[in-house]
Amino acid sequence: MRISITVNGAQCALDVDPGDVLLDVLRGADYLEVKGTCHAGDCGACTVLVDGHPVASCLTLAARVDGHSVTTVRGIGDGTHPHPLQKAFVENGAAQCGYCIPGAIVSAKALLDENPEPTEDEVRLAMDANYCRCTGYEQQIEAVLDAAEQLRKEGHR
Amino acid sequence: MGRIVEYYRAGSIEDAVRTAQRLGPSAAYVGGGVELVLRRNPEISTLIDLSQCGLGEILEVQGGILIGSQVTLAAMSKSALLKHYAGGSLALWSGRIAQNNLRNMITVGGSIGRNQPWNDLVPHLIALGAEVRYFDGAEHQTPLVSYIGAKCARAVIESVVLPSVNRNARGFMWRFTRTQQDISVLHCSALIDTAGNRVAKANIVFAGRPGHAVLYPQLGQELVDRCSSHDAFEGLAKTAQQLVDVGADHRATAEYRRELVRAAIVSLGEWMTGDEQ
Amino acid sequence: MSDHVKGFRHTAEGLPLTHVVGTSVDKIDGYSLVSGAPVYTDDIAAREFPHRLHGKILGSPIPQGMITSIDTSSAEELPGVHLVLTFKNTPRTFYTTAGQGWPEPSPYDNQMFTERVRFVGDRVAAVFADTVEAAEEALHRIKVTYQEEPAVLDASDAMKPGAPLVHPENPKGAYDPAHNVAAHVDVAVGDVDAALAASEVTIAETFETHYAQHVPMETHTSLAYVDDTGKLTIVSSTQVPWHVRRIVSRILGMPMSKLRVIKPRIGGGFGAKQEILIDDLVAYAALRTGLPCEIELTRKEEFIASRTRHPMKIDMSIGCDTAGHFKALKMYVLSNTGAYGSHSLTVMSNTGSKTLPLYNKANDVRFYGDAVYTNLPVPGAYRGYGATQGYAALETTIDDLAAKLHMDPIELRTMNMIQVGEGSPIFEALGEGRQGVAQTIKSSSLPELLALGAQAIGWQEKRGKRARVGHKVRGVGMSMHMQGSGIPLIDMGAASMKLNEDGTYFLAVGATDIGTGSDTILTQMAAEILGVSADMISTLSSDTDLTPFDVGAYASSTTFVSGGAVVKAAKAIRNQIFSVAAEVLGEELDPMLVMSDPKVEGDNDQPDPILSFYRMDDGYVVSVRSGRRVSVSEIAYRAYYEVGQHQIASTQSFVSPYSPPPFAAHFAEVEVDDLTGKVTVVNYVAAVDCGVSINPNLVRGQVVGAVANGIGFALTEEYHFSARGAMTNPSLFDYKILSRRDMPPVQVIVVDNYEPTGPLGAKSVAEIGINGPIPAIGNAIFDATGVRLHRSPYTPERVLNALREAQK
Repeated sequence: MRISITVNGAQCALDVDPGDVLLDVLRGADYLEVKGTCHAGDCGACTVLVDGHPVASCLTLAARVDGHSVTTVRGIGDGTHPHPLQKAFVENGAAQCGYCIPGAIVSAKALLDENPEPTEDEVRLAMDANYCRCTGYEQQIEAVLDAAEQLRKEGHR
Repeated sequence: MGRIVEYYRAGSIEDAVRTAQRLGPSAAYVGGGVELVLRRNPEISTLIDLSQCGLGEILEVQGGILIGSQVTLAAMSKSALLKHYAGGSLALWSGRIAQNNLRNMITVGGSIGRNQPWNDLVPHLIALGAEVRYFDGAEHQTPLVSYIGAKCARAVIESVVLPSVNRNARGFMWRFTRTQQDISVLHCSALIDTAGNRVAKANIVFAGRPGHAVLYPQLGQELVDRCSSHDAFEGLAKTAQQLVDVGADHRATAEYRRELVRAAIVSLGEWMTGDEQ
Repeated sequence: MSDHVKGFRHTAEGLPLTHVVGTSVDKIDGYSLVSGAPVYTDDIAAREFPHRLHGKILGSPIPQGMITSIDTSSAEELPGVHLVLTFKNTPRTFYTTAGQGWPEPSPYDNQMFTERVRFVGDRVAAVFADTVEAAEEALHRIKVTYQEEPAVLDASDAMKPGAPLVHPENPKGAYDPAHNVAAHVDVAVGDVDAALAASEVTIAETFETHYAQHVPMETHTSLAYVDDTGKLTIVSSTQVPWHVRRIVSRILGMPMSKLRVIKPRIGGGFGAKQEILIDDLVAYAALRTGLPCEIELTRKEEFIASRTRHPMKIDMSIGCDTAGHFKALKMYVLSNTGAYGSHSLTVMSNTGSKTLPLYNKANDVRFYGDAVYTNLPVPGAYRGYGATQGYAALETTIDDLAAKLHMDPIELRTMNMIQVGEGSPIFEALGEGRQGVAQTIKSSSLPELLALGAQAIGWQEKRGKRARVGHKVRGVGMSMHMQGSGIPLIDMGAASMKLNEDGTYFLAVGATDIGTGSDTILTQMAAEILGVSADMISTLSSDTDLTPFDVGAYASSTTFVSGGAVVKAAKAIRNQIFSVAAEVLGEELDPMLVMSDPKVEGDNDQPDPILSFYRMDDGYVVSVRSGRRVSVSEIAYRAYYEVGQHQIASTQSFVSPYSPPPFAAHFAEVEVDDLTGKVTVVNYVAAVDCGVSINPNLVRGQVVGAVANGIGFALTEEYHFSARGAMTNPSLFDYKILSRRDMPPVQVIVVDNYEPTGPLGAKSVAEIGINGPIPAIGNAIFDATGVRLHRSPYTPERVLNALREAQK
């Protein structure tokens, strides 16, 4: 079947099987920034935003998001034009192996869009799907709080 | 996974039920989609999408608050209506169970229809006295606790209704998990209505094994007309330990779960007497 | 220099002035990682080879037995299937999957496939097909009949007479396979039994640790293809590219010149990827089919059939006088090495060699042990590498000894711990699977670590108080640790550097950055020597064709060993630059100073003599004698295009007789719930001395990450097995690692200390942090409740049972 989704602002028509999950469809369409590890909704690595809300792309049927908009970490920023969250992750040493980062950053983005001044507990809760085995989370949480502060200073969401 | 060959977007619940009845066991409803991977069933070849059936709202209705079956945990956690219902317990816990990327996927209808093992929503809704509206060609409304017992496979769950009568009672949830991001080893939910310092009404629900929510009227009865005292809860804990059906799996033995039943009641007592730790 | 932010305190007073080292420069791959660049193996496979073959592995359903027949014809007939591999059509070379140095210390008990299966999940066959679905379907079509045999599923039974044998084929390098013993160690200094008998106070305890997995976010993934020149290229998520090449070359009988291994970005390793698990399969399949072939293990396979931590049962005895002076230490290890002996000898050796020297005051010491085969999943290298298990026993037993002596556990440790200028006979007696190398401690901040850590946790105020609120009670506990920095006289790393015309540099290292940030800190070290900022150097790592050799990312070796090579290479080209500078400036410079071997050791006390003539300063060479300057770029242009043309470049290697231990003191405050047995870590303090912190942010990340992994190991992570030895919880749904909401606050205290044998004063830091949680938390539970747990993990049910037992 053919679905039409917006990925990172670009209109995208894709041929998918009705049983295909979004993770496989996105990677198949060269959105390789979406990483998978468990394919069971347990690890958070494949998290993307659908209409601004984080979902596990490994459990989301591609057909279900027909007509909706998908945001991956690349839609937030890239190496040349990093989003303050990405910058804060680098500056806080919050990315070690980096495999969990695309999912973690989009979760954080959804939080800051909704709550520009989160507490540390709110950050932990809003990113609790995103397992990280390298950092022990502390520098990642500080990175999100730093980015929130930076965004408030810049006055944009 | 069974080979899914068709994805059907139902335009209405009537359409959904008609299609499901026509296709029989080869069709399944899809809401948030989480259950698909957890319950891979090779029989299923058609998915019936309920997202366009207008079941996605939380509304004040005659007799209570209606939660559409396609409402997600995340949406419930943000609902102003739910924050003012029974002390806001449903809104609070909807934002804490499962994990952030699933809270945007797990729906009320999916939780009830599939009753997944990580389900902490169903026992809490039962405690709150929720009723289920479903459609199988005709409209029905029945208490959730009875629906869970005898559910209708081809029916579409339209919504749950939280009765207004419980609006000013207080909802309680206690869950024991290995980590914060885990299914419950033991779950306890309660709804307590007090008149002065006496208990007027108490619903107590346990899930003593994953996905098995049971309302224990006898436990509720034991609290009614009692003052919230240490002795009352000691007694209740003993009864509960005898009464509650607990299971064993690699997460915990039945003996240990029985200890947790006591811990849950102690916690309920602390919550009611304001001694929360 | 001192840096103090919430949760992190870094002290580096009194150390030599540096300009790049000691600062938290951004990771050089940071921006590519945070924007999700396609840099991991499967990303590269998907982008470069969309039409590659996908491999899937058939695992054994039985724990022990022989394959009596295997029929692959139906699988081969399936459309899209290109190749089915079994023992019938693959090389029969015996090898070890352990990616270690040469000669290999692990037994040659593996073959690509064999007729015998040894655990549930053991390799039976592999299929390569156009799609993952076709490969999976083909697996179902392989008909295998097994002759099941009795299995040994408990390490304690493995050596009993008549126990089923896991390796009846008598593999080379196994110690006594006729009794299921893969490896054996027995090292004695003095007469420990006599010393124990003569001790005024003795204590003897047993501690059991459990099966656990590394859980790297990226599972093992490997891609192989034959390139246009006929070279077989393997892109692998590995910690050990050179060992992959050596072992695959042996298995396939291929010359190394026809094999190239590239390590791209790696999604975490922690030891699991110090192993050749699928590289042989994709390589062989690519040769056979001529097509690119990839295997990406599923999470379930990662749990069942990659590698785990060795479960150990450790008997620990200590003898001392009534004042607490240690006289005798005796440790016996029964290590469960599962179905294969990967890392069996060396992990077990480390259980003694990385723990007992910490308490060097005991004159009589014995360390001995057996690593036994069982029909269970296969352990291997895992952060901490045996020391973690050793400290679980040692630090728990010392805590009980302190209670017995009515002494403060910190005081008891302080009076027995190793100090600067001291050695331990164990260093020399026990190495990694062979004799060790004598060591004298040249740097240690242990006294400061103990003092600062105790202060941070509130030791004086909280210890022994059992502060209680209702059914919850609190306690504090601590533990002390050391590790090593590489394997002395075994681990070798190399680095090449060259100068570009514009004064920037290229650095190539064999060292394997698996997410640790080693590319960054090695770049910082080179920048420090060359007097430039880190962004003036571009760094390439881990390609067996393009970079020099390195043993790989393990044994806490990269900063120390590979860093040593980088410092030498940077000094060598710096000296070449000085030589041209002297020409430009018309000054004399003794060629011996330029040619002399660059050194790593003793930099602090005896700076290179050449530095009294020239020094590097932000892209310039400054003459100390005349004060005149010449730009490095000008030097490069002159050398490459104008006068006495030659390449300014050098390749240097580093191997050290030293393995200076980093030190750590860990403190935990816990709350134990009487009703549920649940242990909550309220606060955790990890104080560490890793020499000079090259990059404080990355040091902190290593420590908190190791502690997080360690707390999970201590409290929630464990394998459950069926009666037939099959893991019953092989998913992240049911194998519980800590989530963001579970992680307690961890305060990291880093006390820098100049290690004279290390590059720019550095020691290692990656592993040591995982050793603390089991003993520190267990000791805190003891402080809170008076109940001692002798088995990990401290799950609520186990704790509650122990509490109830104690009340009886």
